[in-house]
Amino acid sequence: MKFSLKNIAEPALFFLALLALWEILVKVVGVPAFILPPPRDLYTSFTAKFFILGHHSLITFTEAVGGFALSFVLGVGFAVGVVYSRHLQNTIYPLIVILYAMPKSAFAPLMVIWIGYGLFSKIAIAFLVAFFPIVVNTVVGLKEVEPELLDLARINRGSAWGVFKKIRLPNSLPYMFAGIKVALVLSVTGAIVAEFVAANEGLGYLVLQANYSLDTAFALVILLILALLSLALFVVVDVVQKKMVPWSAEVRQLEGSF
Amino acid sequence: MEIRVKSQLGGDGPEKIVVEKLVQSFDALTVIDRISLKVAEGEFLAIVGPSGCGKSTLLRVLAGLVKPTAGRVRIDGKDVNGPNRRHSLVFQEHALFPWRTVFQNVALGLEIERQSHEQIRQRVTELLALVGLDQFPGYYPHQLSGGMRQRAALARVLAVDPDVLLLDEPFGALDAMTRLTLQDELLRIFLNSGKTVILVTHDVEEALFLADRVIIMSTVPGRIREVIPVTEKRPRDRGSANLAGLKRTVLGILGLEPVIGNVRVPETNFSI
Ligand SMILES: Nc1ncnc2c1ncn2[C@@H]1O[C@H](COP(=O)(O)OP(=O)(O)OP(=O)(O)O)[C@@H](O)[C@H]1O
Ligand SMILES: [Mg+2]
Repeated sequence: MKFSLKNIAEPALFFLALLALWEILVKVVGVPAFILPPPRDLYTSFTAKFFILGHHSLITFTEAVGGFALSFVLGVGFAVGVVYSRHLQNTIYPLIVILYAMPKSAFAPLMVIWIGYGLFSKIAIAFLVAFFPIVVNTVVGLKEVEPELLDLARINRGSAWGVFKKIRLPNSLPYMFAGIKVALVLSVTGAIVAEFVAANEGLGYLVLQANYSLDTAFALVILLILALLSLALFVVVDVVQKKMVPWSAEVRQLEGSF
Repeated sequence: MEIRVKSQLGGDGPEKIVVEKLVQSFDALTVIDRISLKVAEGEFLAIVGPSGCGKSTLLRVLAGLVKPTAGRVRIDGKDVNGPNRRHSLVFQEHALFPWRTVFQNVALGLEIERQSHEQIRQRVTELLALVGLDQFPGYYPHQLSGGMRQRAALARVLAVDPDVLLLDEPFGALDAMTRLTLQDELLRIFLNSGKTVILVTHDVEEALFLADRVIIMSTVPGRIREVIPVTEKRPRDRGSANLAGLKRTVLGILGLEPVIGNVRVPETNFSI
């Protein structure tokens, strides 16, 4: 995707047209504001509550990125362990698979009991939902190496560490990045769900508050902020990926599956 | 002890590779069935045979990548019991590292030898020029054509200067022009270096143009059907009547009529 004027103009115009249509329809049909407020109300709400939004966004951002970071470190470590150790594969991996089959967000109430009301129970849920895409993709990337490349390593007497560093790890990068993108977006969702369950700050908490007071405009603004947050994280990863994985033709294709 | 192998031009050295009653099976499938073979040092051997007859498998055994089911393989009098950089293989599937540029792929072996940056740069630049990739050192494999990838793979093997070159259809994906150029290049390298070369190819003309002997394999399970010595002096004329006659013989043994429509194939040979 290139950010040229031409590429931006078309979606931007479409978006503006959509907003205009929305504004007009709401007025013409006479939809009550608590069901669907006109875009102008969203704008008013956004400017009026800018600093509140900023504060709570930061909270949710911290939870999501914290959970993601944890899932990345542990997920990659775990994936390497599973690929290299029979024991791990035979013992902990089945456990992980069972866990994988559970709806992770259903753990949110339990996390409150186990970890408490604060930041860490949210990070835990964000971690849980983000962990699996990282593990699964990294395991595949470490394993699916062209056999000829491993043969070449044998011919050149590559050490186990050399094979890991020079073959398996670079081979896993495109897969890992695909996993990271999914994981990041999921971790934002995880944080929000955890906030729904029990929180007194964060965008999830804020959206509930807006709902209670039938402030639909504010709720919609929060959802848009959440979308922007996810999108921003996604773009950051994309940029890092282009820097770190300039060779991969497959990357585009994997992105498409996201 | 130096055993002289009765061999052809360029192949009068002591025996380099000895294969004795080699058997290679994968589960129930016997792919190679008691092949015995001697290759002299400095000999150029070509192997032709139907698809799936075990040519790649034979090369992988010679390269030490596959442990034979039965039989022995010796190189320089020593049993082959693992891969070795002195006997390097160019894979049928070029096998370049997708995350390395052309330059970095060719430099791989030299990096492992811990040569200096300057040495590596010089050698790689030389080799890239040799295979006609000097304009593309920074390209990644996915940005190359099939033929360019094969040339990069060839350059990578030449970089470590092995004394046995095992080539699995190295020119298979090349256009006719590049193929002929690289054949000449390979021949030049071979004649100047005294390397022992085993070349698997589908191209009978290529085999006859390059090799001291051409081995014809049978369908699976692979056996040696016939050994055709090519005595013609190098440099050979690709259009010579002698080679044309040999080609007819080889195609005949392979069960392929050397006649297409009513055009006799030997007459359509081109020479450069
Ligand atoms: N690792 C393996 N496991 C099982 N079967 C194998 C393996 N490697 C090769 N084979 C089988 O051995 C046979 C010969 O394969 P090989 O690649 O040596 O053929 P080839 O002569 O090189 O064919 P081509 O000319 O098409 O490249 C095939 O039937 C193939 O399925
Ligand atoms: Mg083959």
